[in-house]
Amino acid sequence: MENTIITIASGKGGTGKTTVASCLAMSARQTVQFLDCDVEEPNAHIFLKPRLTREEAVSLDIPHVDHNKCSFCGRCAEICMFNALAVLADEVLTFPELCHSCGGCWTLCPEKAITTNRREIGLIKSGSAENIHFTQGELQVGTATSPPIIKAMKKTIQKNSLVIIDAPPGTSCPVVETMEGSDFVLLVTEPTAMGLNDLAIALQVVRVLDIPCGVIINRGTDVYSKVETFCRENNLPVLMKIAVDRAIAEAYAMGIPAVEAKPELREDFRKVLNHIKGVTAGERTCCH
Amino acid sequence: MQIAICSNNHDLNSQVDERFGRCAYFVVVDEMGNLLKAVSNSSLNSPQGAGIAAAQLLINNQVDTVLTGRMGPKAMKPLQAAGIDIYTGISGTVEQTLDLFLKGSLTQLKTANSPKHGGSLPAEGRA
Amino acid sequence: MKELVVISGKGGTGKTSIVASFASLLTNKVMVDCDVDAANLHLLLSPKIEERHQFYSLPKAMINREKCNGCGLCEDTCRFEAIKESTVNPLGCEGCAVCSRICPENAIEMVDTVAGEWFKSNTTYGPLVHARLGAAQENSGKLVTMVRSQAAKTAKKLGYDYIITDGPPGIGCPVIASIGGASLSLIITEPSLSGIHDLERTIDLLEFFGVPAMVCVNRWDICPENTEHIKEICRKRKIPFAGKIAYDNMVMLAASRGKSVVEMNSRIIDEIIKVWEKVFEVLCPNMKL
Repeated sequence: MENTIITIASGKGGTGKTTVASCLAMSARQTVQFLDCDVEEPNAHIFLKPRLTREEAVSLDIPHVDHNKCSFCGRCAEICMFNALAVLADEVLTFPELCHSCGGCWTLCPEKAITTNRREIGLIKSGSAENIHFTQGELQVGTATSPPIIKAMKKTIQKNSLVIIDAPPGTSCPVVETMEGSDFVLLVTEPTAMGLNDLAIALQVVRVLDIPCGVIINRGTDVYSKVETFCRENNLPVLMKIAVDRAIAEAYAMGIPAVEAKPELREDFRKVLNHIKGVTAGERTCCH
Repeated sequence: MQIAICSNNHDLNSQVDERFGRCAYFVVVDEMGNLLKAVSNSSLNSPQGAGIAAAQLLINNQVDTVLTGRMGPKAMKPLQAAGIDIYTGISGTVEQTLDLFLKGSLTQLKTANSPKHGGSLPAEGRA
Repeated sequence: MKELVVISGKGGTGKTSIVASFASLLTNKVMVDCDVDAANLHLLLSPKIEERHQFYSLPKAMINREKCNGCGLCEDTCRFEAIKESTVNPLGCEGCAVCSRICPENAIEMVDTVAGEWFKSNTTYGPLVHARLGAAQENSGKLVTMVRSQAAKTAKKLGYDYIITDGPPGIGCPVIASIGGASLSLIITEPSLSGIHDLERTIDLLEFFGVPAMVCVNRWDICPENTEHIKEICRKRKIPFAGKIAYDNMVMLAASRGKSVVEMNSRIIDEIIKVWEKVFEVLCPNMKL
């Protein structure tokens, strides 16, 4: 059996990504690897309540200048696209918070005067809860770049398992980093003009990455049918609709997952999982 | 002495620009008011660290003094390390600003007067 | 000029609906949507676009097949794993240009990339500056800086005193670009454990960058105990509490019709107005609304 990697995403924040991701994991009848890649604001631990037993720092290589070897030629500052160095007559200043760790300065320094230091940008914590192997990333407050943490988390994915990834909101680099390599993207939306707008944008990202996908409509009501029309027109299967329900919202507030507040939802989530497994198995047979 | 003045154009009659990292030109004059050169600010559209790159540009051009509106801590660091004096309070044209400086009406800046990530908001944006 | 930035840490707490309501309560201001990944404010304000501009990210690498001898040095050097078999994956390329500098055949060029668009628009409630980052693009922080500076320019030109900004979720690059140098940041949170967790990280971020904060709890009656807990956090961290707004289905209905809450005659209008008055008091201590 190969991996099945499912990423739960949405353009808009607060549509229920974490609810869906944790409910899927809790409904699965097998071992699940769960990655909370919303490293700016990781929340899945509140619902899955894992016992976190391991913690590992994620750091980036940043330049360290040996002033004895440096000729102060200025080449490093000149080539750095991120303006992370400044060269004075007898000193090189570095600005680690601006460094993208591209390696340009230490690769191209004519005097070989630059080596690397490490700068911590966040943590990866892991542990388990029942059938779930849980991992979450945490961006250090004040740090701008989250993709390296997401990249490091994805390296922990083990073979032969069902992997459920909770993505960050938005449509830019952290989302792309999270989705890449997934077998299926599940887009969670809500039936509002904003939900639809952001679903359409998120779908573009999924299409760019060319990953099969489906939709879950959360907080469904009868007043807004445009999301379903959009899904039909774009050949997007709606895999589940969760009706608007104050009881779910109240349980959510206390950190109680929807499948505990409403156990009957488990079966619906299992159907979603089975559908996705069917799709990804089909993809494999037709592609290989 | 080489005095660099943040400006939106390249001559003595140009309007000054209060932003350091994201002004279009540094007009460089001497204390007699002679135009020495205008250095185009190549870091104007940098996604980040424009202030640092602008500071590097002035250091490379061997400027002694910078007249600006506001400056963040990152741009300040290399300029101070290079021994360049920084003055704030510029207004009007490059020529008028030089007059203000020579009369002693500008304030020397010892610590940043713009926050980290000041970007390009005008100075009045800050409480 | 004063700039109020509304952020939330956690997404979906009702930021945009509240910003749209504030927009109707103040006249001489420019509005900005800094959630450039998934902009929504325009959906509630029906803007007429007056100017549109392209937005470029850092140039990305492109390999010239005719010059490339396939040595693979670029692939080994790229720390973003963006080059495979002499082909650049534009989604992975951060524009560092190291590959183009080390290529022995000079076969790699850095090519300008349009990463999005930004707009100056007019709405019933005044000018709006907003943007749309292309799907799967980088540099959202740079685009945020762009729309903020355009809003400041517009406000200056019109002689307006205020900027109201709808911020992005999270605490990363686009949020940092949204809050730097702002006069005040209002955090809209919700009384859930997730909301509280994200609120604390957001307060940490604002403290880190030295931006004054206020807190407002939206949908407070979903969990009154957690609302009390949030008030306690504010007391402990010495952050003024701007007030609370009740849960109302009308907000969802307004959002599904693309309208602002105040236009929908919702029962929570009075609460929103009270929050606004408190915020204004802190934003401009010596002025009357």
